[in-house]
Amino acid sequence: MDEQVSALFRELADLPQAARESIFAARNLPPELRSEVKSLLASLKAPAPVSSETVKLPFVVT
Amino acid sequence: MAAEVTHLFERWRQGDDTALNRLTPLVYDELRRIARSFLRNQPGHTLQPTALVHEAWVKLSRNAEPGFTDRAHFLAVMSRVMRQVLIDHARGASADKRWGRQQRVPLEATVEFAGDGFGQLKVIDVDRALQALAGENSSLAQIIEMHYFGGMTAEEVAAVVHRSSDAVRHDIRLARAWLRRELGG
Repeated sequence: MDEQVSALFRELADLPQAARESIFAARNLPPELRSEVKSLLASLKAPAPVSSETVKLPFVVT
Repeated sequence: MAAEVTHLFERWRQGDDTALNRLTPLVYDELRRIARSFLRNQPGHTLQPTALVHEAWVKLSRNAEPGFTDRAHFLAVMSRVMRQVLIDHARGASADKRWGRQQRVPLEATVEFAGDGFGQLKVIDVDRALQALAGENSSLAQIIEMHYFGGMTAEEVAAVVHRSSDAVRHDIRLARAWLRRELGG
């Protein structure tokens, strides 16, 4: 995963889907970059803020 | 705290057993805090925090790094230790005889990343995904390991990796997305 993926993901993560598509359409992005970022964005469900305080529950063991 | 822990570790490894008496409560406090973060919302589970702490303590004392630069660094090491303990248990490979068979409380082989929508996951699968992420981006893997397995805040992680808290928050978010894709969540 290179810096381009990280930077584009960061730029698009908080945008609505339509705005993301507009940016994809407006830029001549390499297909691999576009595909990778789209895939990661699709895996980004409800934006979960990263706590700046104590992490409440990293995970639980059941 | 980290400087004292480092100093006591050094003395203990040089043969000063009195250092262990002072070191143990310091380390156990942090280990208990991390263990509680794993167990907070599972009052009925079979894992006892003490068992997890014991295992982590044994592993830490065997593989302690030369020194801890600060509390954040210490927590980063703890994150790795906790991950190793959980994976060892899941593989059934951590049969430390010191605690005796009756005293060991086996961990179940599933975990749940609360709030991340992953659902139940096998510990082994989580470890495998983190290894795969490390192959693509070791920095991301290190950051998410500290966040999940060490219960570290973005600020604490930032102190370890010498980056801004905002950058770390972004990386945690990116790593979550990557893991969710990898794990099919």
